[in-house]
Amino acid sequence: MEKTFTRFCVLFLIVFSCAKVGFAQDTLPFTDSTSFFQFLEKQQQIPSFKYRYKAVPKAGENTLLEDSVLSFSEGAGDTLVSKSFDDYSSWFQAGNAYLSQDSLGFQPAFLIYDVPSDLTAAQAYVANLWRNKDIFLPEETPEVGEDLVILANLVPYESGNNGRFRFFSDYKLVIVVSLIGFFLVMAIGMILFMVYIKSSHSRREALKEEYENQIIGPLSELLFEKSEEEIDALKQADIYAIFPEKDFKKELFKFVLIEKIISLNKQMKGDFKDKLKRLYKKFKLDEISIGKLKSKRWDKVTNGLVHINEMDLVEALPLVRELTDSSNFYIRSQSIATLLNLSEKVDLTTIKKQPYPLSRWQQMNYLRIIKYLHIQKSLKIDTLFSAQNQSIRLFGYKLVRMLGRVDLLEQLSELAPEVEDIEKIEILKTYQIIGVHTEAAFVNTCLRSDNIALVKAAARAAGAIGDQASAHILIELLEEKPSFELKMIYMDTLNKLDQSMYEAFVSQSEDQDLSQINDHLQDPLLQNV
Amino acid sequence: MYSFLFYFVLELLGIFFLIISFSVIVIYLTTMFLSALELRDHLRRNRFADYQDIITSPIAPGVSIIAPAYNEGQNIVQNAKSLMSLHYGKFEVVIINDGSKDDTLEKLIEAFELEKTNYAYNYQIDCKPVRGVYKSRNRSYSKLLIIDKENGGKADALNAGINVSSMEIIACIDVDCILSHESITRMVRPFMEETNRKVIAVGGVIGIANNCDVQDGTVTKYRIPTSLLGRFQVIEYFRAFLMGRMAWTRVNGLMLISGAFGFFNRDLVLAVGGYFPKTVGEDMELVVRMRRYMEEQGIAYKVGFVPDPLCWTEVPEDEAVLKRQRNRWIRGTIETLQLHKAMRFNPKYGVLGMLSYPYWSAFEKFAPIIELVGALYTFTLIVIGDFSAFYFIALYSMLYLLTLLVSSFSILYEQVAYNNYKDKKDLRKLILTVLIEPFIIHPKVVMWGLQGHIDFIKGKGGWGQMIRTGFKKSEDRKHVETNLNTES
Repeated sequence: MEKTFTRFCVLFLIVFSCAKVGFAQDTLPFTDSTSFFQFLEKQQQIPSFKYRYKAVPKAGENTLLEDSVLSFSEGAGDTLVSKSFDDYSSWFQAGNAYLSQDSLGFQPAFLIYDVPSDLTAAQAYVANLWRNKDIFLPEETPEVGEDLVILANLVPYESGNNGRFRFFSDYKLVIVVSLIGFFLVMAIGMILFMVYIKSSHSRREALKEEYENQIIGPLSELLFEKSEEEIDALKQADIYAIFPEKDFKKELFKFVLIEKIISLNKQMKGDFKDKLKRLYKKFKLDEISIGKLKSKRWDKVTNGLVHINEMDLVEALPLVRELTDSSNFYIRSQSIATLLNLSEKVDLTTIKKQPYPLSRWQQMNYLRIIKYLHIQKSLKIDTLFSAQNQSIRLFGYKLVRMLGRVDLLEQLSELAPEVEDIEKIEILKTYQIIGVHTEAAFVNTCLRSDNIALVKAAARAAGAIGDQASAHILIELLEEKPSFELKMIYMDTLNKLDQSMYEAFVSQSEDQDLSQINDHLQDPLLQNV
Repeated sequence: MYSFLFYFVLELLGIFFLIISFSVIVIYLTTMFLSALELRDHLRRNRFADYQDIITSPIAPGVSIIAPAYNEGQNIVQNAKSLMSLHYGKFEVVIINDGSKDDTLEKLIEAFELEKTNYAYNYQIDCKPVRGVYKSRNRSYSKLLIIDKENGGKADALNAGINVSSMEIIACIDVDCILSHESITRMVRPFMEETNRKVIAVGGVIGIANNCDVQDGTVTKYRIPTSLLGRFQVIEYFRAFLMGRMAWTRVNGLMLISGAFGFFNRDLVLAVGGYFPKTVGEDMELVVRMRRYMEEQGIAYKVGFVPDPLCWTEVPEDEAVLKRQRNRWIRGTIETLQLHKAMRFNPKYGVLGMLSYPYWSAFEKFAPIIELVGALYTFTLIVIGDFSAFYFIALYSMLYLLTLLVSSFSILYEQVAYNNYKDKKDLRKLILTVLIEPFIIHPKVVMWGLQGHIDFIKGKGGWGQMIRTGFKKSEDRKHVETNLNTES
């Protein structure tokens, strides 16, 4: 967007600079008296401008006074002035004969706004009219049949409209046209792009369907009729006999083949899974999957990782390991999941070293794999407790309760008093779920905390693993008139811990909330609410 | 002097409309581009998501579905059953009978064997008095909780539901919405995926169910509505959800999550004081207040959006009903922007203050007014004889073409991403609607919007003064007593 804006600014600058250039291109069409008269001849008439002659004849020369066309009259001193003419041609014809007679002292004169003026003043006046665009060069219309090229050559060269492009002088027009242009280019570009996407999508879908139909039959035959040894013995020529060579070499065909094999692998068990994995390698599809790990597109890399994970391509593990620190969430998650699944000597060190916070999504995926693996392998869950990354430590505490690792409780017990409140809350949840009665003292310490979230967690845990001291603390806390929500938690826990203390407390209390909460807690319909 | 001023104002308006036209084009093209990128990324991400895991994983968050019901006796039992059959492990359904005048509550009691409990109701968020909380003895309905309360409107009913909800995430929905079985798993995913930012809310697409076949709570066959108004809304919803909201999600600037289908972090909703019942745009206002709260607290956050078709609703095909809806929407927008005017061009609020808020002000709130002034400007030019047919035709054609482009693209997005409307006749009808919409329906929408402005100025709703003053801080809502007759 920033770039587009810059481009527009540049465009507008160009437009406005062109307009300025237009204003600076005024040149006079005459430079001396000869060209001035030529110009006057072309113009013929000029507003508020009249032609006449003046003469200073030698003594005894009376010829001029007798000329009825020029109608001379006496001016200042010995000067004679003719009558004025509006157009150049009649003025020129009337006086042309006298111009060559030196004895008459005959010369052109002008009237500007009826004020007698000389040649210099006339030139200045006409030049001014020209600059103000009050007069223009008259256009000559060629006669029919005249050679236009020859005519054109007779006209001295002048740049078109004096370099002024009228389009640019209207800035609104420029903006509107620029906007429409910009819009049209963008619109056409986007429409073409979408049409391309849509048509290639449809074409691809149709081809995929066709390839699927080509693949499913031969693949089933291979699975059900060939042994693992026979699959190993397949040669390239045999493969081309199964799938047409022309199609088999196509990328999309292999893509469909990969998807089909992976989908069958998910659904099948035992020997069939092994056969599919052998076929995968036989068709050299493993090379495609491993090759995807080097792609620049995150979705392709993740796709490659999914294939490696599904088809147990252990040879790709060194490459997979390199991706565990990827900044992309999906690559990172999938590579760790793949590593956990496929690696022979696997533990949770890879997760421990993760610099990025562990999202719940990742935790969910890892938990699914760890649940399956922890029965067969030693995963060293306790290494997570010492991770630098807090989200990983929290995941470690969760794993203890989700996998029921009672053997790690001792380590948790040592850690618990030292860690931050958020971690204490997670540890308390673990104690509560597993039922670690030996940790009542820790629970009681947490009940005295200033952190409400921690107190809530401790109060809930006390319901399962608290002791008599916990009950006394809860009574003290209830007497401090906490919020309704806390009262509810404390009362519920107290009820679970020591019913007689609870009943005694309720009977002595005059708090309306407590009575309401008591009714709630005694209602069998609300046992789990 | 006056003549000079008149022409000067006309000149200024001319420049203003040029800038507006330019901005509209740039914004819509940018929106199209950003939404395409976001949609592409979403579809790529979807390829690697195993939603089956979420259903049973102990790590997945619990969800409270909160659905207010008012005079829904006819369908309430079916709707409640549909909600309870959603595929998810840890969830509860809270239905609030908002003082219905029909037999909504009786139908629920009968169908689900409900009994009134001694529920210790905590008015954590202010709401109208709760008359009773009901649960069933039948374990098949253990997920169901019914609240019976005095009538206070949708926002008030939602607040009543939030008070009893016990899960980490609350899903606020319209009870008559049809939800896909996968709706919770898909909507919960953004809450679970984010690593560096807190996801405070996630919005979803609302599909139009008019004329569609529905089976087991899911739309099985898509058909476009028979009326022009219905078809217009199909296109409008595509534009709004697949384009607008996707683009805003891309820049983390989403300000509106539809009230019919939105998921929120419960703790945060409580922290900001829940819905504000005295605005007609309670859905937008809550999202803006939550975002504002996060900005004021300096906590990194995100508002997510899931474009998958997961929720469907019947849209009004009657002009009078649609007019009322649009009037409400524009008033909701004005009120929300007014309540949070402190954020306007305030860099302290980041994208929200510098981009989302100004956009909503200029292109949503003031859009009907700008269009009216534009028409008056054109008329004035004709009267004084300064009208340029070229400019008018050029600008009008450009904006018309833009509308066509945007609408066609929104249909294309749907086709490429989900391809729900498979019948070519339906597509042809949609394209025809796109062509005539700017002439037939758009002027009406502008008029309804203007009426909304007039109603706001007249103080319809009765909280005009308070709304005009606005909130100085996001937490101010908690100090506003919205229900004076609340028993606490």
